[in-house]
Amino acid sequence: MFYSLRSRVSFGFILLAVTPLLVAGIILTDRNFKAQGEEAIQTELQLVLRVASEIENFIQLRENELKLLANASNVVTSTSQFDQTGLFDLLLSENIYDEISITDTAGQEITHISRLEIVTQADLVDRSNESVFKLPYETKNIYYGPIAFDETTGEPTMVMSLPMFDLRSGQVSGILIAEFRFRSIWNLISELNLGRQRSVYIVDRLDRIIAHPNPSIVLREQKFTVPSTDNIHAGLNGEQVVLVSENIQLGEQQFTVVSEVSLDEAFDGARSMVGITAAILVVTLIVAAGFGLAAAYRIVTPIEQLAKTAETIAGGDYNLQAPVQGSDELAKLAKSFNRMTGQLVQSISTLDQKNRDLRIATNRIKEEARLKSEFMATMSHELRTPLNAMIGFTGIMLQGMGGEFDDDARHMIERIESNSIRLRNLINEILDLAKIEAGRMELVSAPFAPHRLTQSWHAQMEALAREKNLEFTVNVDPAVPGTLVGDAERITQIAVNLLSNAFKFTEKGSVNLSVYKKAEFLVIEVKDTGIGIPPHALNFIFDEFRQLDGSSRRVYGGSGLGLAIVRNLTQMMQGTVKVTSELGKGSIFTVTLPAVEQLAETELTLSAT
Amino acid sequence: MNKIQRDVLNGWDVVVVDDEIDSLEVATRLLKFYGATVHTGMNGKEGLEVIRKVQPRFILSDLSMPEMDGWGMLYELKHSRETAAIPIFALTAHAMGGDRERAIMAGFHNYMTKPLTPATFMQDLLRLLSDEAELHNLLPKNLFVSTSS
Repeated sequence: MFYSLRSRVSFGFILLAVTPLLVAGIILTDRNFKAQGEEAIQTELQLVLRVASEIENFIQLRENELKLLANASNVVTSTSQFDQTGLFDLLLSENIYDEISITDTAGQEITHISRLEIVTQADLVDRSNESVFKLPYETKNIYYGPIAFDETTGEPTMVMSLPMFDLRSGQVSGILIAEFRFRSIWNLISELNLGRQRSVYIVDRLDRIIAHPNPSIVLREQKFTVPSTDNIHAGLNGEQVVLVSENIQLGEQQFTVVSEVSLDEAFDGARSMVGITAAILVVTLIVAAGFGLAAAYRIVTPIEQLAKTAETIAGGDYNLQAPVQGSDELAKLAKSFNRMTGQLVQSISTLDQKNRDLRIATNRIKEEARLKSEFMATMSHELRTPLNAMIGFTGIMLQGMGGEFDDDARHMIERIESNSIRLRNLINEILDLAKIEAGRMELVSAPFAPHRLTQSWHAQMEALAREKNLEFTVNVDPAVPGTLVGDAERITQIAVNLLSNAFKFTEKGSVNLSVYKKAEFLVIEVKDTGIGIPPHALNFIFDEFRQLDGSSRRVYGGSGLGLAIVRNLTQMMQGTVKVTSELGKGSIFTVTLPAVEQLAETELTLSAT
Repeated sequence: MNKIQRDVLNGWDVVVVDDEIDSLEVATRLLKFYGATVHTGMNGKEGLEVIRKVQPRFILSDLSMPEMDGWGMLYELKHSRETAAIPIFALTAHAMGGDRERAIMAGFHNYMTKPLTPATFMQDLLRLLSDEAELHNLLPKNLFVSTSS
C-alpha cells in the first residue's frame, strides 16, 4: 500500500497536519482535565467549608440559646414549680429541640419536657451516671454528646448539655440538657442551593451518615468511610466522584462534611473541550486528506504521465512527446525528457543509417569473398587443365605409347614434362595456400591406415632418393594404431612436403622418416643430413616465399611455399610443427598431430545405420 | 617393374566422355595403346548417343560438362534397361573434397582421379576392372609381361 508515491505523499500530508494537532490536543486536554479537576475540588472545598461553617454557626446558635436559657432559668429548687415556660418556648419555637431537661447538682432530673411525649413527674430520672451530666458538671463547660438515632423516628439526634450557674454564688446550680435533631441541619443543607449532580452530606466519627439530602440514606443508618484526601474517589454509591471533605470538631465529637460531585458535572467543561478538539481533529484530517490527495495528484500525475510516455516510446513510438504542464520542476523534467528522446531519436536514426551502411558494406564484402571463391574454383580448374594435358601428353610419349623419337627429342620432352610438373606443383601450392588462408580448406575426417600411408610415402620418395644417391630409411613405431581418423591426403601433403625439402637440401648422407606415437599424438619426424638452416632463419622459415637467400633458391629450387603449407595444414589439424637444425650437419622437422583413434560415438552409430 | 601386356583390352569397346579435348585425347591414346577401341563424346548428351549405339564394355566419364554433365548422363544410363548394367567410372578432379564419395553415392561404380597418370594408368584401371565381376572374366590370365633387366 505504501509503495506508490501517491499514497506516501497523501499519507505524509495527513500525518504532518494531524500529528501536531493530536499531540497538542492530547496535552491540552490532559491539562484541561487536571485543571478542571483542581477547579472542581476547589469549588467543592469552598462549598464544604461554607457548609461546615454554617453547621458550626448553627451549633453556636444553639449554644447561645441554651446558655441564655440556662441563665434565665437560674432558680433551681427541688420544688416542681419550676418555671418551664422558657423551656417550652424553646422547645416549640423552631422545631429543633426534641427534649429539654434540667437536673440538679446530683444529677436528678427536676424538669423534663419533650416534644414527642408527655413527661410526668414520675418519668423524671436520675442521670448522675450519664456523661451528659457528669462531664459538664465536672468541666463546668458545654458538652457535646454523640449522635444517636432516635428510637421512634430513626432520625439522628444530638445531645448538648451545659452547666447552669447561680448568679449570686457563681456555683453550678444544675445541668441543662438538650436533645435536638440533626434534621435541622439536613434542612439547612438542602436549603443551601445545591445542584442536582452534587450531594453534600455529613458523616460522624463512627462513619455514620447523619445528614444527607436523601433522608432515607440517613434513616437506613448507612455508613461510609470518608477518604482522607480531596480527590476523585469512589463515592457513597460506589461511583467515581470528586469528593471533598472538611472536619468539624465539637468538643469530643467530630463531624465530617462531605461533598460529592459527579465527574460529568465536574469535568463537564473539559469533556466538551475534548469533543471540540476531536471535532477539530477530524475536520483537519479531512481537509489534510483532501489537500494531501490533491498534492499527490499534482505531483504524481505528471510523473505517471512521464512514465507512460516513456513506456510507449520504449515500445517503439519514438516520436511521442511527454506533456508539459506549467513551469515547475516537473515541467522541467518533462522538457528534459523530451529533449532526451529527441536526442535518442537522432542517435537511433544515425545508428540505423550506420547499420544500413554496414550491412551494405558487409554484403559487398561477402559478395567479393564469394566471387573470389568462385574465381579460385574456376581458376583452379582453368589452370590445371592445360597443365594436365601437357603432363599427360609428355607422359604418354615418354612411356613409349606415342610414337618414336630420338634421344634429342626425348631429352627435350623430358624437360617439358619436368617443367610442367614443376608449374603444376607450384599452382597447387598457391591454390592450397590461398584456400587455407581464405578459410575454405575443409579437412576430411575419415579412417586411414598410418602404416600403409607411410609405406606409400616411402614408395613415392624412393626414386628421388636413388636419384640423389641418398640413404632413405623409414621407421614406423608398432605402437602406432592400425587405424586413425583424419585427412590422409593432407597428412600426405605435409609428409611429402617435408620429405621433398629434406631431399632437396641434402647432397650426401641420409634422410630418415620416423612415425611414432607420443601420448595421444602422432609424430612424423623427418631427419636429414643436409646443409642445415642458420639460427636466425629458423624463426621465419615457415613464412611464405622466404628462402635462405636468392642463391639457395636457384640451387635448390622450390617456391618457398612448401613449409608455409605444412605449417598451415598442421595448425588446421590442431597440431604443431617444430624444427631444429645445425648448419652443415642437418635438420630435423617434427610434426605433432592429435591422434584421433575413432569417430565419436554418435557418428559411429549413424554410419552403422 | 613388370609391364602390362599391350593387348589387355583387345576387342574392347570403350566410351570416354569429357568436354576437355586434350583430356579426351590423353585417355583415348592410353586406352588405344592397350588395344581398346575408343569412342568419345564431348558432353553427356553426345555420350548417351554413343553409349547407346556402341554398348561399350565400360565407360569413363568426366563430371562437369556443358549441356548435360556426368551426373545427368549417369541418371539416364541407370534408368534405361539397355545401359543400366554397363560399368561406368567417374573421372574426378583431385582438389575438390567429397567429389569421389559423391560419385560413388550417385551410382558410379568407381572413379579414377584426374589427371590420368600415363605411368600408372593401366595398373589403376586394372584394379577397377577386376572389381567388376563381368569384366574380370574378360581379362586375360597373364596380364603382365616380364621385363628382363
